[in-house]
Amino acid sequence: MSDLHVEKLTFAYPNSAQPVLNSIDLNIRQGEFLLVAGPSGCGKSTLGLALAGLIPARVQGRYRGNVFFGDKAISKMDIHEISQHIGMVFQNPENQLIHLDVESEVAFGPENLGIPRSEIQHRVHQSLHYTRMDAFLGSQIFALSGGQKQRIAISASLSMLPDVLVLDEPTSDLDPLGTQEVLRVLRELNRTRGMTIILIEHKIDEVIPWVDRVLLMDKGQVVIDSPPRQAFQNPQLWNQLGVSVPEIVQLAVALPDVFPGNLPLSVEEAYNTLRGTEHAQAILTAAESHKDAIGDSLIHPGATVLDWQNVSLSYGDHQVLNHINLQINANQWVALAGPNGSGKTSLAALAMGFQSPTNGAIRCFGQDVDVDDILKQSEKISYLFQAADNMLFTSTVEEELLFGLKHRGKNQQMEKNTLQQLLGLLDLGNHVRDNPFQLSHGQRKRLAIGALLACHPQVMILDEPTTGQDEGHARDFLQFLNTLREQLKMTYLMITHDMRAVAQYATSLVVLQDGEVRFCDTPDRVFANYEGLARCEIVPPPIAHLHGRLSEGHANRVCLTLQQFLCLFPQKEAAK
Amino acid sequence: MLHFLTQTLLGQSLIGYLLLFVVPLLLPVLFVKLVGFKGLRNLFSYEPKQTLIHRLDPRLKVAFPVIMGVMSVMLNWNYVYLLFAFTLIPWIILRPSSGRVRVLLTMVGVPAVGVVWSQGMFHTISTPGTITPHLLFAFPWTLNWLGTPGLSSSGMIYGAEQAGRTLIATSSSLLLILTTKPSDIIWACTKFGLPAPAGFALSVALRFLPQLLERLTVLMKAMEVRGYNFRRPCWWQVYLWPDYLRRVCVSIPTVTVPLLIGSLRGTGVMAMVADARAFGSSRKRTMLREHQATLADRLALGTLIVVVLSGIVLIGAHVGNRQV
Repeated sequence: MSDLHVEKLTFAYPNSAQPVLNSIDLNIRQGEFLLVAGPSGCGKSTLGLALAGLIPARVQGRYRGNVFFGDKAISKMDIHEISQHIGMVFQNPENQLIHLDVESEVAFGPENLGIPRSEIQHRVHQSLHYTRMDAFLGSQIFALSGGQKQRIAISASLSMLPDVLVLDEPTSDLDPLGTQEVLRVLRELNRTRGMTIILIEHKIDEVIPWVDRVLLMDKGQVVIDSPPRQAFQNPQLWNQLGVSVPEIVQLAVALPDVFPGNLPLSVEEAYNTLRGTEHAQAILTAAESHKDAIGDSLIHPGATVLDWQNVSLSYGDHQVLNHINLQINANQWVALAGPNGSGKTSLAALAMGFQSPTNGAIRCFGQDVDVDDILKQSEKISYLFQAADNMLFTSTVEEELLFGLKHRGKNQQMEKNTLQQLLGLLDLGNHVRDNPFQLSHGQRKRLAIGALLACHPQVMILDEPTTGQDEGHARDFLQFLNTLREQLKMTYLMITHDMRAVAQYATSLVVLQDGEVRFCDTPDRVFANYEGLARCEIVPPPIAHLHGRLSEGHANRVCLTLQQFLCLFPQKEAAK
Repeated sequence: MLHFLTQTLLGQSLIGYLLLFVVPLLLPVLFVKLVGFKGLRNLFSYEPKQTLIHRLDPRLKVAFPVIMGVMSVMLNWNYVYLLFAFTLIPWIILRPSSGRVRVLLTMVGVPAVGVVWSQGMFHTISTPGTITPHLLFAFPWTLNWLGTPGLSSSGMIYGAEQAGRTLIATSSSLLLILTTKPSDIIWACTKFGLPAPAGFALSVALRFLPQLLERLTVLMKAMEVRGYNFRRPCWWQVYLWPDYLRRVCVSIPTVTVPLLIGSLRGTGVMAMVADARAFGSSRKRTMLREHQATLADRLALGTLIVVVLSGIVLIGAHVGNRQV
């Protein structure tokens, strides 16, 4: 039996007084699919490392208690022995790819296991097929996008076919459909091969339909350990920890008469329950009555701040962007979505002047973007890189926040005011003197955004601003950005896979696929076309998706929030 | 004018200083202009193509620079450039892209010019039968502090000989890098008896350089986005250059520290990844790659053997060996 048994596990990193894991008792049976959720810094990743045997073998610290794999204590096992049974996918794909080409990377694990060549070949093809990276077999790693690298990292672990696979936020850079595909593969391996899956994730909405068991952690302890349908009996606890309850679960709680038994966990389950009810009829009637109505103007009022005029970009034979015509008006929050490698980051990089287009022109506030004069562009636009760690280069949080102001010659009083404001907004007040690299991933991301905000740009390009942050911090930060946008009349271009963030904050949504603009409209209109979006590997947020499906394609626009959705129902339900 | 330059102390000093400093100052400028930051990144990367050279057995391509390097050291001046011409044959078959050719010529040419120049300046040994070396240009006393009497012909010839050896080594090594996937290089090295941990270290090292350059690019862009000025003035804006150089120098520690920290942090994770992927768990690793010998491999091997045997005969017959 390859159960994992955690017994009174306590672990503290060196130079840290507080333990990250605090007397954890846990039993994970073979073949379970487990979700580990919780706010940033609650000990999820540390637990993952301990379950994979990398703590205490490779990560030093104060270790008490035991983790057993079957009847063997992991701390007594050789790391090489552990690795033949327990695999791990780490958070950042950049740091976990060893080779330079895809085939070698995926074959590396099976080669180490000494299995026959034909079997290695089979596993390489199969695991690349699982993550839909078959076409990239001969590609060089550095030519791949962040999401594609993440898929390769997952494939590389899958090819080893371990008994237990620990995945630490394996889908953070993946597009929504890519996330679902990876989860489907994990589920399939879990069912067919009895592989134990331990998934550390912030995307509760997307993950919850797939798992058997949910662990909610806080301050190094497990506070909820139950099957998914029972895990949300105390939604306040989730909210307190900044981990939001899935929208579909919230819907079921709001409509107890419609969902009297088991809680639905997916759009499919909610759709099956609602179909044929008076609620579904109400939605269909509303959709049909508004079918021919002409909606609001698609163009958001305001002056054009960014303008891509017939822009194409290619690297050799590879066409990244193809005749893009796109305008962004002032005070808009434009979300840019699309599958991994669709050209999102390239489109935004052109606006910042990081490179020049192969064809066409980009204008910023009516002037041509001067390629390579980033300093000049930065007076109007800021850019948050996807790997926010690469944006941090001073020794304290304070210096980091003041870096831009100092180089722009701002006075000390202004620096002081800005610093206080930002520290409050970023929730980093207790880390003023800390080294940025001592902060958690989410905290570093917030710090990087804060460092950009210090210079008060008019337009901000946000490349995956919420990746790696827990739900609570991500929402707080998006809310903060929204307030800032409204107060300072800022414009945002946000590259994202987080469709809930799009639904809640974006004023318009641009969907790219194969370097071309497929959709450009308000999110409620774009999400209404869920079948077209599926072809672009985008899945609308749960409520919008459910609304679209119940409208049977008749709705011009769909609800983006639960409140809007409930308003469509008969009065008594709305009153509830 | 000619009289002024060749017969007066001032003119001779001027030419002397130009000879001494123009080449060493020009070479890095040429390198930056022709290769550049991006070119450097491409230089050490494999260029995927479907050519005969690409399809050759990686073991042959790994052995090629080693054999050519050894032969270039063993053979004398008369045969060095013949050997260099031999290393150019695969390049002709390969037909690299124009961008690569520019980078390659710069990479091969700049050190060669540098060697010829430096030896001409400082390898001023007199030829047999003469007391003083033959100088193409004798420096006036105003340049005595530099420690060289002038530009010597024997030094330049010696430099050209040495440059030939550099050219052979560079040409054959770049052929390997540009036409062989790093994983194939490691595979070939492993087949030659390289231990698996050394192969792993080599792979990580090869991946490290482009990653480091990529990270450096992002860091510099991030600094600019946050208000740091890296804009290079035009060459004629002389008055702006000191401030630009100051800004670049000031940025070095700012960029270096996170670059090193980031790399070290990444290294820690990478070590854990190697553990998690069972590296070192089995005494005998299986290799996915296997190379089926083709006619082209046999022909290339045959040619290489003929060249090596010719070299051995030349050296053995005291025709092509170096005079010690």
